[in-house]
Amino acid sequence: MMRPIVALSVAALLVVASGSGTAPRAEAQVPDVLVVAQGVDMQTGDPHRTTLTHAVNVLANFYDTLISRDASLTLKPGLALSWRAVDATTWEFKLRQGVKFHNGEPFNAQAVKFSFERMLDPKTRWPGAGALRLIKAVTVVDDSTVRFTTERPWPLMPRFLGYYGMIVPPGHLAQNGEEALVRHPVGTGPYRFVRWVKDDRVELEANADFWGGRPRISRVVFRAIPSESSRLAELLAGSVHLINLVPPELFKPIQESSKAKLVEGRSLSVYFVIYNLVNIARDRPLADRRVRQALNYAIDRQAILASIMHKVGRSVPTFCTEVMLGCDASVAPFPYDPERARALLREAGYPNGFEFSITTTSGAYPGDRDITLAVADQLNRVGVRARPNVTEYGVQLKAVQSRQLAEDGWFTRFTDFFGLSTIIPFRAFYSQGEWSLWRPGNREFDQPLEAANVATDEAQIRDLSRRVQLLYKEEAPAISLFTAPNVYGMHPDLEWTPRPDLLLTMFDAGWRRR
Amino acid sequence: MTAYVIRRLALSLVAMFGVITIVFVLLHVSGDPATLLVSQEATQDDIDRIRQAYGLDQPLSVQYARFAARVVRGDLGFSYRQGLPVAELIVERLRATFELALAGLAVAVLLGVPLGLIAAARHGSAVDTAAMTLALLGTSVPSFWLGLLLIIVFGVQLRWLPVSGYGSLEHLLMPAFVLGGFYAAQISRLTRASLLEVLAQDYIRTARAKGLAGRAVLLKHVLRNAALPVVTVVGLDFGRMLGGAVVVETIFAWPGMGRLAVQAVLGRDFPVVQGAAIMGAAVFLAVNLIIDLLYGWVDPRLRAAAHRA
Repeated sequence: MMRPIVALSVAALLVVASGSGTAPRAEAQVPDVLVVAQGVDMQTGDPHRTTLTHAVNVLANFYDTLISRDASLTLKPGLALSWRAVDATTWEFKLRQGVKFHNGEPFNAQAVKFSFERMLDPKTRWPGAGALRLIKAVTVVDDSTVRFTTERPWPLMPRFLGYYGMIVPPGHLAQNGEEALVRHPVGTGPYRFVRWVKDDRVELEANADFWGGRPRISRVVFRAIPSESSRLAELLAGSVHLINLVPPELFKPIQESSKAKLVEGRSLSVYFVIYNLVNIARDRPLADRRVRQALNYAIDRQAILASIMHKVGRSVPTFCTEVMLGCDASVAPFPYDPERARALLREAGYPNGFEFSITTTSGAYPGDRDITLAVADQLNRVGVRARPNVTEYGVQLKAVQSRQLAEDGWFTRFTDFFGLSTIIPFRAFYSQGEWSLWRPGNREFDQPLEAANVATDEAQIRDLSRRVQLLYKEEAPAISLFTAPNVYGMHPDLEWTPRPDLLLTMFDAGWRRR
Repeated sequence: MTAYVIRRLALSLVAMFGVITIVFVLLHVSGDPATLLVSQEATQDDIDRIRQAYGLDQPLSVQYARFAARVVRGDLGFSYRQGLPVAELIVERLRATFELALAGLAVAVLLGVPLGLIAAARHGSAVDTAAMTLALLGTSVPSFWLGLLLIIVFGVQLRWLPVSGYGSLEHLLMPAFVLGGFYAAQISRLTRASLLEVLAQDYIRTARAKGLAGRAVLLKHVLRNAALPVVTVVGLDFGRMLGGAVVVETIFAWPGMGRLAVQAVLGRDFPVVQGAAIMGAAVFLAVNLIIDLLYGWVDPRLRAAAHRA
């Protein structure tokens, strides 16, 4: 009774094996489709419904913003050819002519006005509306000229419009309803939408009429593969050509394989262990700035970078990286000096250290748990009894946002998509900051940040930012660590420059001819 | 019989409401969808506005009342993250979920039953021990480990099968094997035990004594009786495969219900989690009910008891 079944199974396996043998897997020839894999599927095709990076990374292929940025975050013409400040509270943009949406509808000033009004409309519930709240009105001057009026002077508005503000087709939405883009994106971008199999893939094809020229690669597929190991396996098997957010523990297999290469992009993200200073009592150790500085001296950042991060990343003195405007390279980092750490602790009255609990996630950020464990270990060596506590991301975020975090330290990552050094401190350390654990905070620290917010030119901002950076070294509201990795695994013949803003725009991707 | 079915359906509804309430409370207590929907650029205004829009600033009892009222009307709401109706999101993934569950079931039965049969037929021998050791391995090996191992061997090194994804029979093979393999082990042990129990019965000895040929004994008496508990367990396993193949779906990037549910939990997408919980509970209860009815119909003794009840 068994024998027929055995025979059948063996036969089936052989059929499958021989059948698969004929299907070409990406080999020495240049693949005709570029396959990119992320961990999560795009959530929606409508750019005004989300700011989640997994969606935005893909949507940036369908939609354009007025201003483009290159891989160094230099502002370039996008849908707008030029822009100038007419007066302190008015920006004028000259738009590109002859551009069409994927459905044939013309792009013009009306589309810009419509898109921004839609973005900022409370009914749309766009989570990014807060970042653009200074925009009071958008007026059409003529078909290719549009003006933005702001609540108060906003000299840095172009920087924000280099990342936010995707333009959508008003006619298409009027005809097909408000939800028309959710399942089927239509924009002006280098790629048009072909198909979306939920939680599996989004298929794109080149837009031959794209204003920036026809993309080099004509077909792109974005796949959603939740498991990091599976993404890596796909890369090594050659069926996926680009994976993002590679965690440090997987750097080595990619570096050692001849089937893939590891490419590092510049980072707009910084890792910290932020001190929980919410209504902290005067007699607690962290209330004393000497203690807060001491812990910074106790960390050997280079050792962590060399080991856990496989040398990917740079030490960060305060809260900004060199790609950000106003980040002052002359501000020195905290050196690794455990003796000084111990001396400061003794001076502050803690010769025998103290208890310090740190909350961390596991897998939310590349290397998160391992870095926290290393930090805790190094703190223990100077007498601070550090205890890491691994939590789930949602639980941790809720505790922080409601200012009810139980632990003394919060390991986290902050990202600044706009490339402005004052943004991270404004979110994380300003006393009214959304994610700030420094309450009631420090007036002296707050004041230059508030001034930077209403500054009228770049020089002023650089100046104020430098002041904040120096104050940060004094007050040390966190343990600064280093840049978070922005690492990609790629097919060896794929030519593509990673972006610091994590976007997966494939317009300039190409295959190297062997 | 009808009274029995109606009573079971009513009890099922009560059970479902219980599940939904527990899920609701756990969800709302454990995390905040608003903070997870926004990026770090969001202002307090953005966060508050989102909370307000989804009614999350209302007291828990109010939210529950609204939710219960919608569910009773059959309205599962809209996903916070995707902005699409929950019902649509679930339907999109039904086909893939069913495909995987059916394939897993096929693997479980085609591997498990024969294995159990051989073990019972060669009861006490080395073959029996080997078969049962294999079954033990099947239950003990973690599915993610087995999955990754298969991926490395068949996907990366041999390149016989695609590593992950959806769309063809080749994509289905490894996930079905990993999913079914676990249940196959359990089914083989049950098959063996059930066969051995039946083979020891008096009526089997009687049948043989009557002079019935070995094959006839097997087909008419042994298999039919031994099949009952196996059928029950197979049915229950199918229900479980439908509801929760999360690990397999994650490793093999299979676009099923399990993945939808887990991602929704991590992102605190309340309506989707609640919808998935309702689906899962409904499927489980339905499968249970069908099996009970089937069992009652197949076994004449139970049928008589049901009539009397």
